[in-house]
Amino acid sequence: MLPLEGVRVIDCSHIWAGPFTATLLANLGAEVIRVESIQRMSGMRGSLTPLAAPPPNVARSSLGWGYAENTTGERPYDRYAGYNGTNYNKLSITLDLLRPAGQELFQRLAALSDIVTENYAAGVLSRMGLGYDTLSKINPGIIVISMPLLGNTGPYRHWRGGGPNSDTMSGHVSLRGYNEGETAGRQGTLHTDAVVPPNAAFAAVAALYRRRRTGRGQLVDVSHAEAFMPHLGEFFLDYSMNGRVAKPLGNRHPDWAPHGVYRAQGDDRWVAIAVRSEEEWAALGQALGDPEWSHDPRFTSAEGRKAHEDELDRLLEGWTREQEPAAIAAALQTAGVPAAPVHTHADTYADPHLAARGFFQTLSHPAYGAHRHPGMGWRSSGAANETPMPAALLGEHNRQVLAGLLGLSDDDYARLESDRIIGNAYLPTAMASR
Amino acid sequence: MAEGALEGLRVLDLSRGIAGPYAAKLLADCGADVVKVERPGDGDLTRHTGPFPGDTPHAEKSGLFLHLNTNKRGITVDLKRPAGADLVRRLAADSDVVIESFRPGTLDRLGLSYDQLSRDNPTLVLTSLSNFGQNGPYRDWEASDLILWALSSRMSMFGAVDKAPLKYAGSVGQYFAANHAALATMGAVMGAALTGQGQWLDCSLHEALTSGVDSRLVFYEYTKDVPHRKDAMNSSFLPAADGELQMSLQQVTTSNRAWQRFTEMIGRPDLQNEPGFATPALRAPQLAKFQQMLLEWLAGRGKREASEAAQAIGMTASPVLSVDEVMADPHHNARGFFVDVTHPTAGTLRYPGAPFIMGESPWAIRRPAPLLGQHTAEVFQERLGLTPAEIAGLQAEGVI
Repeated sequence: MLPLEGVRVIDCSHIWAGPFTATLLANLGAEVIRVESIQRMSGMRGSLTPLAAPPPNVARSSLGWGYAENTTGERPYDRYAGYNGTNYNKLSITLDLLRPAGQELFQRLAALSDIVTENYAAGVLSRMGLGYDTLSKINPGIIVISMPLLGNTGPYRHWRGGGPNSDTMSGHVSLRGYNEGETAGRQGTLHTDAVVPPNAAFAAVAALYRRRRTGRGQLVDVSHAEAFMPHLGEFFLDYSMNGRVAKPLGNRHPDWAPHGVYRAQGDDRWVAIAVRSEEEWAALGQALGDPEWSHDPRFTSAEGRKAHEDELDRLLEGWTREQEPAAIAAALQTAGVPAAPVHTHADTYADPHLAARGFFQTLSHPAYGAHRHPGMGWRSSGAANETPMPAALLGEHNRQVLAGLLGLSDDDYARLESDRIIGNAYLPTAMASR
Repeated sequence: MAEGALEGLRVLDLSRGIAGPYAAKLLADCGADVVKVERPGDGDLTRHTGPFPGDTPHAEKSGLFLHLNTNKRGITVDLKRPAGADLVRRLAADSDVVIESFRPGTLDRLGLSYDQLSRDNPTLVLTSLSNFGQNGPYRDWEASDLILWALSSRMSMFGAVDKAPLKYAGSVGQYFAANHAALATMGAVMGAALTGQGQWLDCSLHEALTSGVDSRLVFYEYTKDVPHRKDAMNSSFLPAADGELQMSLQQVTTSNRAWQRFTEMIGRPDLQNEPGFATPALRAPQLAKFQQMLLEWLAGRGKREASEAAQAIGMTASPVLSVDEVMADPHHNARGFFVDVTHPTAGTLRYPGAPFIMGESPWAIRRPAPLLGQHTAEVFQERLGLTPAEIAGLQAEGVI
């Protein structure tokens, strides 16, 4: 039995951070009902219409093209890795939340649910009659996890954007880059998008814990920047203590050397090495077969190695370029030195350690086939470790949820379909409103 | 003060470094009663990493330690001594959660394995954080943040095409893994309430990163193509008068309304009359021209002012903020994100605050990070009923 068995979540969030929050709750055993609409295709759904090949200047395995077996079929949005990798383990329904009939059904679902996950812009759900104030009157136990980009309050609460924007607002972008002032390679990461789900899901479970004492739910406001900023705590403390504004270090470390990513044998192959102590420095020298430079007096101390870091890196890379990354890592780890190949996605899927750990799970759906998905970041001694459901097709569970759970009659259900409050294919205009 | 969400939850934190302590901090900051166990003498290694005021090392003034250990009481116990391990066993019997980050196998050697601890406390949740998990070929590998990023495959997608792949900043990988461990822990706590049975959580930092930081991983499985840095998303950082900002011109090419507003924003409403720019189809191939106009407008503007102007007309934009600018940011401050915390030795400093705002059970700093061994006597008296004489005896022997 999984821990959140009996907990029901309504997920009406979009793109990645919001939906994956709900997926984490599903993986803990909650029943998650994902609510989309046929009127408006949400982001991270791929293409609305079939495509024979990737559009020009779009690589395969990029956000612009990621379809099962590289075919879009008639319904590309059911075969898209971005969606299926994020939204597995959920039931899928559609509701037009802009019309009263759809809003009323949402409210009826909320009456039977414990948690709502959403990331609409501040105020939008309230205007649809689906904000916390309304839902908590219907169901005082409801917990709403509200995740707009920068939160629901503050002068920038209406700001639009995604991962790169919360990344810039957190300070993270200013801390990346090879050196101060160098802009090459300093792309905005989507890391804040990744940090929101475990934080928001944690807050949801904490609210469930709280509700056991009080019987009441609550509203949780999650700013994507705020969820992540504590991860940079030591930089903020340094500024607070010393007035020092941290600069990018690339792959280097403020105190330790050698510490970086070095070219290895092969095309675009690299190995990461981090020496954190005198013991590890001595071990590195031995593992490399005691080259003369490993006894150079300039490198005897950590301070010396930092002072001559460019030269040290050049010498170390002279060795690493002649070896395969996996061989380097194996030799150095045997000697007790932190080292690892830089993995590509292919390497990760082939990783023997992850295989031994049973990390990947095969999720299979008749419409788009079987694929191995990454599992969770933990193994549990107790829980069933059940295989999750594959990502559902658009509206796949309309009948199960609306007729089954809500008990709508056949006539009522048919009217919803003819009125296009519900459906299981996007309308041709579903891209126009994005 | 309103109660935190986790009021009543008892946590014993045996962990050290970043990942374990941050997981415990998430629970502590939500109101759990967290007792942190450190080694007598040196304490947690982050007491010695800094940053320090004036760069002068001091075990009670390390910024990283102060941040990671808010809201915890601190005791010292020598776990290598059988008497010390026994005290911890007894504290675990009286706790809901134990968090630890020792090398796999250590708990067994100390007589503190899950089998042993759960015998006395069947609902106990034991959260073990390790780099690679409790088993597998990499189990005994050494790792740091850089090593974990290298293996996560996310790093392969970032960096300049002609240079090494580039990690994320600081130790954010370890903090991220701590988020997963805290989530798993709370899940298990709810599970124990449901079934009467606790569990042992084997949290791997490597697997947390591999599962959670990269929405593109599954794309490889679907297409069998490997994404490369050169295909990575470009975020278009543009130079303003005082730094950089992210701004997307995409809508300007696809929407006529966005185009009109853009021309007004940059002071060129005359462009609306240009027949060569009249439709999306005409504008799309000319993006570079609009980019140039934008750069000229930005040259005379601050990044924040420019972002605010763009957002006001519905464009996506945000300034690239440095650490000091983040701490002074009007939005973060209006939300009260940064908080002042007063510590008996380190004084009053400004810390990052709540990762989320809970409406009914607010996050709060109830106490600063503990001094080494600050609550040893108090905790043993309160939780195990030891007398002052017994405590003094254990201290004299160096057990606590």
